Amino acid sequence: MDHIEFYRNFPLLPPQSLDPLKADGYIEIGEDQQCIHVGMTELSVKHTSKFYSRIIDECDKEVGWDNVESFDKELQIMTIMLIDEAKKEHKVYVDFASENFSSDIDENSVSMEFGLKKYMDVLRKKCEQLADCWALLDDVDSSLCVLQPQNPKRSELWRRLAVSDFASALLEVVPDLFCPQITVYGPNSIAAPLNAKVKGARGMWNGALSARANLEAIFDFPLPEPGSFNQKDIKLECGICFSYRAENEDADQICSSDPCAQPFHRKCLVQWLTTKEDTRQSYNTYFGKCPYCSENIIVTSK
Amino acid sequence: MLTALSTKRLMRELNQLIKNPPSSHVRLLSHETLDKWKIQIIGADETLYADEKYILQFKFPNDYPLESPEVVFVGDCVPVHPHIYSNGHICLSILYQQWSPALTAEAVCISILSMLSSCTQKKPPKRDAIYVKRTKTASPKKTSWRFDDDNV
Repeated sequence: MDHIEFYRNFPLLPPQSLDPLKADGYIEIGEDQQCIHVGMTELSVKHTSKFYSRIIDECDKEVGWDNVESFDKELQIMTIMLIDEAKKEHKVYVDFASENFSSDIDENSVSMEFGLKKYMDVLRKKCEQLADCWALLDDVDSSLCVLQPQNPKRSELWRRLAVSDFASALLEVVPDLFCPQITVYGPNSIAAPLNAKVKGARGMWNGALSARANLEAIFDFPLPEPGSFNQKDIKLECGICFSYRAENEDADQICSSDPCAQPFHRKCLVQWLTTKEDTRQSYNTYFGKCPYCSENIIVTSK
Repeated sequence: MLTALSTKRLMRELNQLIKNPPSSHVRLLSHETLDKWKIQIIGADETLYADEKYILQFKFPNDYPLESPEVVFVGDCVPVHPHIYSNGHICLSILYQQWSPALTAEAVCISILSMLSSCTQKKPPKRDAIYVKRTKTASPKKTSWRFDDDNV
């Protein structure tokens, strides 16, 4: 658009410059020719995507601009609000820089080729499928002492709960599966009997009762209140990499000597043991010493 | 290049050291890069090294914590101690054969402080001059250490 054309279209909006476009003034709208004040600055779009027009078209026709919540400053990420049948709000991110879609619901991103409308439909279906899981997890989050994850995302379908002073339980929900999967971690003397109770109570989960009532029925003792433990009280982190989840695996290899009970990731522990000369190996099983208490520790690599 | 495992772990350690320093005798001076830190230690009260300030340099290998960090005294001032050579090399088992990923940079500092604290006589190691001449500025991890003196 050149100066003359710009002036013809917006006579009350004198541009300070056309490239990049910068203008401040008024434009007339409606039949009664009301004026509104406009200041405009062209945003420098670092990356232009061939998908802009397609997404805009989809927003016009199908998704609806009402649902578009925000754009980031560089016009690279558009956030869309998706409200599911249970009135839960989910954010969908349309990322023009990497040309993909992602969301709170699903960790994996999907290429823009897929189409926004189609992606939203997939998410809606997923919401439907996960509604029961989320209801259970919301109940868990509000009534039990959750150690991990600290700020759970909708895509995270697991919780690490405090069970007692030394033990924690991993609760995982699976869509379409009636009851959550529970595994107790901690020193052997505490965890083993509790895991036996979990095994014994298989199929007893009562969907009509709260998560707390169900778990207390399984373990047969009251569980800690929310906030009564924090992460530091119960050893959850791998003693080698110091993180909790790595490559989607829990630090679930626990040193079996009682006061130690240090957790490790399988991979980290195998890596450490293979560096030690006193480790013995038989097929894919390693017999070595715990780096914390020096007692025997056994791990099988996957 | 640090691996994902070592990056994550070093971030944790660094964070911890900045937020909750173990004592007023251990202070992080700099971390130009994630794998090279300088930490000041101050000799504990009522010991031979009381109030003396020394600087430890930590270099973390790419596969830390599977491998131990390289730790030496740097700066003008190296403590005179039977297990510390005048080029800054430290004869301490946990830095070499006895390393375990259960240890952290912070734990190493505390160990070195306690090594200073338990010393009863400030004297250099035997044959310090020969060792220093031979190793110069090479990494102490290249030395094959013998740990036979448990007294200090």
